[in-house]
Amino acid sequence: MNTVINPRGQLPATQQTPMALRLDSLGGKTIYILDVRWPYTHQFIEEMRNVLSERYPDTQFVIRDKAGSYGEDDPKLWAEIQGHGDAAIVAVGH
Amino acid sequence: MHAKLVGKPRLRITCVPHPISRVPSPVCREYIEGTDPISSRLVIDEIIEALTDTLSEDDKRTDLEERPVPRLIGPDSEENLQRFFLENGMTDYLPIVLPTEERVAEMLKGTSHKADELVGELRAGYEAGSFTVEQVAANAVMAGAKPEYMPVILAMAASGVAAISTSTQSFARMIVVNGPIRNEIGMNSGCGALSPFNQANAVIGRVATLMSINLGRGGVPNLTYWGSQGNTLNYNHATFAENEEGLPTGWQPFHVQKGFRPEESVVSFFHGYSLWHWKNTYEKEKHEAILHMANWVLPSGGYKSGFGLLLDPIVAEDLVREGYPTKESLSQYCYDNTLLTLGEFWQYHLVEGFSLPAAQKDIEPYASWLKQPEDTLINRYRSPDEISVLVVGGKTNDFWQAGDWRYISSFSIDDWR
Repeated sequence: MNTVINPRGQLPATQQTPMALRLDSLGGKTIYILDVRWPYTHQFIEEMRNVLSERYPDTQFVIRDKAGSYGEDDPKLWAEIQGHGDAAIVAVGH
Repeated sequence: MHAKLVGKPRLRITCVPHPISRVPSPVCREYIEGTDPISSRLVIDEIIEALTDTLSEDDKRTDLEERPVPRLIGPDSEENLQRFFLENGMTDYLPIVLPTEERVAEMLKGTSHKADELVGELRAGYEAGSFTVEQVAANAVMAGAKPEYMPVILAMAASGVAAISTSTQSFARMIVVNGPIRNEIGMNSGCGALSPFNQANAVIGRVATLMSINLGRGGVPNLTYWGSQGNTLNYNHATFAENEEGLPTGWQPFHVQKGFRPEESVVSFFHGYSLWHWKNTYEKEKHEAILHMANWVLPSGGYKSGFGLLLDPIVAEDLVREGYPTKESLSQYCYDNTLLTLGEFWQYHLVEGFSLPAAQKDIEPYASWLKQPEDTLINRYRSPDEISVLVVGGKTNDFWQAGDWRYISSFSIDDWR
């Protein structure tokens, strides 16, 4: 029988973050669609806006490009969404 | 899974077929009106549900979740412990030496630092793990290290440079050791230095990955590791000692180029993807052939680039005869002769992703480049310092290797003796 030293590092405690409240419906709401700017994917974002607008004509879908490349923070945009938006869809990936 | 690790365990996610980069709009529409390839549900339904569904109690959590790591595992049989390490993703799937208390205690004799001393943090997954000298020693035992390797391994651990990451790019590190410790621990800088024919080279490179897996909590495909194809260099990260004895007169060891004294022992890290071999073909001189390789590398933009040359000592001597009396003069030559037009520059995928946003934020030189004609010539590299020259090999043939290796930083080993 052997006892071994655990080779794993200690992870910090995880602060659980509550999710934003959901909407009761989309009618009359403003939904942001965020493009995090993966190269050459903006046409996908525009098409998503088009499809959603056709299906939910009473909802305003607003496209915004995040400042900087996909890995950079954009506090001004987060503030805009909190101030003017009801929800956001974030598009991430290739 | 990142969302789970940072405290948002039920982030609503939907997925469309990939890639979408450069995919025409009608195809994008088909994707959006089609099904999620993972859940097989309609993408639109998933988006609307995500915006309007009800939050669960789990979604509303605000507590602090502790994740204690016990110091010991076992007691158990060797067979069961080996299975435990394998099944919990704590190895590189090659056989390991179990880090028993006795073996770890023996390993700790390779350093004057105390077992419970906090070494630092390493982030190979989504979070940085903190760790002690004893935990580093446990990984060293697993890799098959000798105690005398510990100063090198501790310097690597304390550097905070993880060998692997969460990136979708399958990169690796190159790890180069300079100074007296190379010979003290028997590292190979000569014939076959980059092959698995030397214990120190093999093990030190291997432990870099084990530390990233265990200390840095990375290396789990589709959870903390997303490199699409992976990289065989991750087995030992092209780890070698520079052949300082084989340097031509006038060429400095790499660590001396970086400001260390010759008698200091130093480990240097590089970021990159691949190495390829070359020998003069139709070019009359070696420096001409080297340019072909230097011109292949992604240009420096908002995304950092680099070029690493690994020259056999006889190649280095030839280059001196060709007119390069120092490593720096060869780097300068490569820098001066690897120009490209702005039109070419802006076509690179990663340049578009990193440099164009920088230009739009008025960051120079990208902002100015965006206003200049497409036929304007620019340097592929930001400075000659992005071109690293190392000497390694056993003088049996005038081959050399090179790759897209960007120098990261160098760290003192002597602090960890």
